[in-house]
Amino acid sequence: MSIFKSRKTALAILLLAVIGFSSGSQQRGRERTRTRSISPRREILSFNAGRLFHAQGPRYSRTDILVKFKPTVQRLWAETAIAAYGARTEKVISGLNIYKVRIPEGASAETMVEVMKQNPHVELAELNYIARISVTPNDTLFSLQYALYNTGQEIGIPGSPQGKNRADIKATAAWEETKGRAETVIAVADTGVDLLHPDIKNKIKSAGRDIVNNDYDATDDNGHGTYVAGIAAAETNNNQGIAGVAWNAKILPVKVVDQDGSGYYDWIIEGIKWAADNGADVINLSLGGEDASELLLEACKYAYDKRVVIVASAGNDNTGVYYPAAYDAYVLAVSATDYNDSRPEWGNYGPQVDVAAPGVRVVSLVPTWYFGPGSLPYGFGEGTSASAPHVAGLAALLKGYKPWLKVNEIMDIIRYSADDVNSTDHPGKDDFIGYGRINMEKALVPIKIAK
Amino acid sequence: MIKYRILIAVVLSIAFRAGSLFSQETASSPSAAGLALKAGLSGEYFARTLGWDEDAKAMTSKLTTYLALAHVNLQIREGFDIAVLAGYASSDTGGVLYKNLPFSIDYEGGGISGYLLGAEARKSLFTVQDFEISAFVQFVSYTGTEKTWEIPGLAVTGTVEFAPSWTRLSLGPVVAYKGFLKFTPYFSIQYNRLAGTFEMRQTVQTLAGIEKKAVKAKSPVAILLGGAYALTSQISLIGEAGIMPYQSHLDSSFMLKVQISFK
Repeated sequence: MSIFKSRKTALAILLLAVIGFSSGSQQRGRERTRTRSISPRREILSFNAGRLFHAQGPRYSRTDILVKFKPTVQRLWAETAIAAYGARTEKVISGLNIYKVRIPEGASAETMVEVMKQNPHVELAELNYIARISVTPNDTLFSLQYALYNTGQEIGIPGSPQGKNRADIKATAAWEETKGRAETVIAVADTGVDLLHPDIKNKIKSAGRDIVNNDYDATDDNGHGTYVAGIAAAETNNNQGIAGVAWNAKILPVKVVDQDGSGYYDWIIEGIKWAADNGADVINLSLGGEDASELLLEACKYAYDKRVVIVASAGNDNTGVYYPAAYDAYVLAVSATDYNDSRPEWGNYGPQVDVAAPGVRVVSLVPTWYFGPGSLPYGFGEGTSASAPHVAGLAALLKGYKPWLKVNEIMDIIRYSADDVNSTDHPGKDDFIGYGRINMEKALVPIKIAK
Repeated sequence: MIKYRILIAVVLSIAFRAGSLFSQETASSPSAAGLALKAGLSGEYFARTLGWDEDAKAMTSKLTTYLALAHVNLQIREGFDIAVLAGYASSDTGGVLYKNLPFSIDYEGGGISGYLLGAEARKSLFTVQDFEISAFVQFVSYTGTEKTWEIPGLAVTGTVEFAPSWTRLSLGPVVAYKGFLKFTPYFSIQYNRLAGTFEMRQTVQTLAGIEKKAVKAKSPVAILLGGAYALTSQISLIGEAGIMPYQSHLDSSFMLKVQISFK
């Protein structure tokens, strides 16, 4: 009971803290600011006045829980056991043997979890937590992509912030070495992807999977997933829009977050498994929840064992690293830096942070419907959701360039090649940006051993 | 390492055999014509264009080597010499890329010192007026001593260890002009095969990798021009310059040798 009370308190706090997209939708189109003559002449709009988005809502599902039976338990027996509690099986995530259980009317999810844990045939029983997306888009063009190549340019219209020269991930130097392979697939487990966006439609491997609506059309109904996918692998060198980090890699959209920017853990678990089973080499998870879950951990391990690199955002609430980013053994946790290679104060921190990547004023795609007719389908965004796909793109380039590398080796190369940009205050690996801001050049281009 | 030991054994057995043959001949047959022991010291420089593969793409780089060799020649009979060679070399293999390591490496670390062992033989075939035509064969094997570098710029410490090795086989006719009293110019066209393996090991915390790069000189032919000058009846000075054509490039070599005869 005391646990129940403390969870209620925690829920109240977390509701204030968790990031998301829902409030962002109220701001759509509002930030159509000054004009200037950049090419194309139409300016880049803002989703949310450049602010971080904070999701609101419950921390876990009140109507269902997740249960994993012991491997010896047959499905028929498991479903019978579930029915014996007055509950019913909503879904089975095959391969991982996880049952999504609809609890009886009037029962509390917490109580049901405790009851199920008493069953000797049950291996794990958990609340079905909710993860939320962590970023939003805003503006356009490669010259605005300081994250990839920072010349100290103004990032946007005149008067916009200027970056520090070469406070970037050295993408152009790395592309000299490799632009990746079209066979490499980055699964973007998010709100879906705008499959018809002119700057990514040719990079989409398939219409993907929509776990939320249970179909095979992962069209984005929020905007976040399109923004994330664009950073990782927008069509590059096509005379329009922006460049993706993984120049040649393909995007596999997996919708695990709903229109409001929230996703139950079972959606995410199923999305990770589906992506791993359907050709993903890298899975980007620009989302996270505060709550640990053994089942989410198992899904990450499942993908890891299938040689999939998982990259997740650490979160934007200046608190501990969110899950699944916090699963250190299987997931690269990504924090944020800005155009000066400084850490924004909102970045989540902890020993699980592996690396950082630009997450402030990052330009990427927004769905064509988002701002409406006459507006460019690009926007600036902010948060670790923008940071993670930079790392996912690098992982995809490494995977394509050195296909013999194991997942842990790719993760280590990304870690060890990072620039320790906060070494003055925190030399070495630290809780804020991990090993440092990623450096694609060091990770991919031969390092010179000189006399 | 086994290959290296076998080579030492072969060289030593040749030397031992030659030495014993020499002592037998001089003891049992005082009149054995032409039997002689010679000792020499040579210095050589060569720069060869190497070819190697990178992802099925043909790549080239330079191998620059300075070497010093001690020669022990046994002239078994007039016109037939065999020799064992041992020495020291510094071989610069710069420009070879190692991309099959966790972190790709572009080695520009300069020369690696190492040991040389080899053998050679020269047999006079026939003479036409003042020209002597002989056959020459030389085999040299270089084994570099392993050297370690720290990998610069990483967030953690990491090292690479590098150990190159190569062998060279030279084989061909030599045309020498014997018409001068003290100076013997010569000319030779040789099959000159240089091939090797450059081994790079990398350790960066949990990451480790080994890459062995097979390399081969692009030009298999050497055109040599040299001359031996007899300073005294027992000491001669030999100089030689060579070119190895490869497409529009010309690799080159230079050699200087002092030789003392013990008759």
